[in-house]
Amino acid sequence: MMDHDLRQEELVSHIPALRAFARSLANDASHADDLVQETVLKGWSNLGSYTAGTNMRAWLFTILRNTFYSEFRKFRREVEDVDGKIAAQVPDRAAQDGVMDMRDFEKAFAQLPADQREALTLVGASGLTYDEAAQICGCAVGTVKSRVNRARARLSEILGTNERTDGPAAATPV
Amino acid sequence: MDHDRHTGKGYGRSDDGRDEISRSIKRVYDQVVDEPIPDSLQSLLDRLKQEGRRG
Repeated sequence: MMDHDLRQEELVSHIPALRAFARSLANDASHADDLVQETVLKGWSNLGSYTAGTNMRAWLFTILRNTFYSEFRKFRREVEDVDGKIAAQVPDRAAQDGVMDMRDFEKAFAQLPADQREALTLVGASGLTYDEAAQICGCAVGTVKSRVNRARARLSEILGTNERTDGPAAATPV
Repeated sequence: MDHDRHTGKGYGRSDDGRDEISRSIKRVYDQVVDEPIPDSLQSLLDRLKQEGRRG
């Protein structure tokens, strides 16, 4: 099999992760899949410029992220909570009955700013290191850690969990 | 506390909110990862592969 075919196969293997990352950014399944399509098209046509042996998932995540933010700047498609519609969906504090379900979590997660959602997703779910996440986001490692901490604190506040954000250890686990 | 752990909704709650949030992030992510690729995306891949074969 030719090297190019192998790269195409690898690209296809990253699509599920791309969809999950896109969903965290776009907050909307249909928009997320549009982003993935766009990313696949760009990645496919630029496979020649991908350096073999490097992290293709990180490369594709960067393309997807750039696509999202460039689109965001152009069309402002992300829903702004001007009418408090999202806030109105926020669950009662989970601590009231000691139970949170995934829907509660997703609603809370959707309230976070995009940069915090992406930091949490990249480091906390996709298995990337802080260094890799920082490269994808085009910022310093400390910025990623700070976004993760702020996101966790906000989620904790909304969901009523006990979150510690003080001290250096708070930035490490996700 | 024990009565807070692993509820009927399959959602564990520990004394450490950090673990709970971590688990939730991962679960939401994995849910999407496990979904089948949508038809529209599969069609795009088929088209790209066909075009690749034609050169």
